[in-house]
Amino acid sequence: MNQRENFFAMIEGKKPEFIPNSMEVYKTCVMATSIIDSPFQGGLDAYGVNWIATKEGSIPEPNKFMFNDITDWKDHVKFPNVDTLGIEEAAKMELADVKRDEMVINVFSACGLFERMAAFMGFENTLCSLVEDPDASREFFEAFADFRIDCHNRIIDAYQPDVITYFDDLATANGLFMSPKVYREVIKPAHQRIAEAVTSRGVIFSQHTCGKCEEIVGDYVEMGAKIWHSAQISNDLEGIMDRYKGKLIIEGGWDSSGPVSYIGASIEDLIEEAKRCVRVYGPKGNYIFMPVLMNENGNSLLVGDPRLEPMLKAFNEINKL
Amino acid sequence: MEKVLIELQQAIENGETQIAMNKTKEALNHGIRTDKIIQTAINPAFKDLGQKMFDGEIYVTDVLMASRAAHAAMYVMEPMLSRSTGTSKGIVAIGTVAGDLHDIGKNLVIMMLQGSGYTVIDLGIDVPTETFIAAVRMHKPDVLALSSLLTTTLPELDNMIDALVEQGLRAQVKVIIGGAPVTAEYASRIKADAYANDLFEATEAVADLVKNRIGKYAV
Repeated sequence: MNQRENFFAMIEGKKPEFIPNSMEVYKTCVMATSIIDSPFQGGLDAYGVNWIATKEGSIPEPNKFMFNDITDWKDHVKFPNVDTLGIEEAAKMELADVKRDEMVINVFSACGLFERMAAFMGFENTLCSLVEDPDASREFFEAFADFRIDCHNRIIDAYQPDVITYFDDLATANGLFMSPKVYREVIKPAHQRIAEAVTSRGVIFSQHTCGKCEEIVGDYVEMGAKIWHSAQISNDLEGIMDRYKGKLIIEGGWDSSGPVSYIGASIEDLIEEAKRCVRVYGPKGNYIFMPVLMNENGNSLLVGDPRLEPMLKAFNEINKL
Repeated sequence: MEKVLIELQQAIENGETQIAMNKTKEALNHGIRTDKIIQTAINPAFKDLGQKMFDGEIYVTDVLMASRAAHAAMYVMEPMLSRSTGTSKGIVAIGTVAGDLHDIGKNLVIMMLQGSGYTVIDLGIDVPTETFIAAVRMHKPDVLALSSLLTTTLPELDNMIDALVEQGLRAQVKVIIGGAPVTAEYASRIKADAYANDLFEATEAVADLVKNRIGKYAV
């Protein structure tokens, strides 16, 4: 099996030949979301929010908010015109040399509902709004979901992707930002519409959430997510894999906040971590390996790293299922 | 304990800002001293919240709302606090290290510390070593709190402590570090004084450091 065939064997609940590796299985497309949602090099996004590039990705300019009160959102938020975003041009550039029969086309869709509200008004205002102004928050989320669905439909038309990975970080390392009840009442209805609009087009919905979010992973499965991306070890990953076998694939497992992700982690430590991932998660059958190597310049996935090759070589020697 | 202080504690835990303000005014009208209000209503509220957070019963939103209510109570008491000397529990200078622009965790810790009666000097995000050093010289904080969310900026914590040693300032200030990639082992390796995994641990650790106690978050 090639990478694509192996991936779809796993998706379809058949037995894959090997544990897929996120660095090799995907053609990851980021240009559309960089234009619309989160400029990776920094600068203004399509809504007028300024982003600052850091070594580990760009973030909204701190302490510079478009508004402070969610009830004012309509006075400030102008949804961009989907026709003029340049999604089709981005697709042409990114897919120029892609062999569709060998790889899985995965289009990233960054800055989801919660993160978008925080990009406009900061995390503290956002978190308080969820509790103090749930109606206004819901109204914003529904309007944003409408726009995001329009964008996804254009992305699907232009890229013909296999997977859309939708990013929304709803948790800290220790737990959710908000209670599951608040998530379900205020965010989930719009979130669910976004997921269903993707799956209704025959595209796999992959949900990215960092941190300890295990309390709502069942909600992700319920709304049709097939992959949970960037699953971190602060969650009970083995338990989740058992509970949702056949329904959800876990992509992650690397100790992305621990010593193996510190700058200067040794090759031996990285190989040991790869072996741990293979040993602990691989046999479950619903696992995609997702190493996170950081160095002085940032994430090795984007900036390269001489430690990658020996680590991946060691992984490929033991990844057979 | 006076009923009004129990009600104030409850209002803070429930994140009820207006009630917290009213109960604080009521307590002051009854002649209850500000230090007693802090010690018997605000501090226990945070202690309860910390336990509930540890037990997974509450979330960041709940803590944020509670912090706002505690802030409101402190705001009501502010005129009295500024007249009485020694009411502040201590001075904490805090910032996110150079190269790191994240401020959620830092800001929550600030709210907790202020709500608990500490004077906090917020040095912001992406703070160069020189700025931390200048703040230590100028404000003479009891504690310097350093935050790093990114693994790529973790070495800045080490650099910061080296700079304090080089400048001859290490003995005059306790250093606590925190952030997602920070571990007790890392804190010990770079010779910080304490490490905290969350905002409640940070508050407890600062209390120990200010009082020169070897607390459970010391490294």
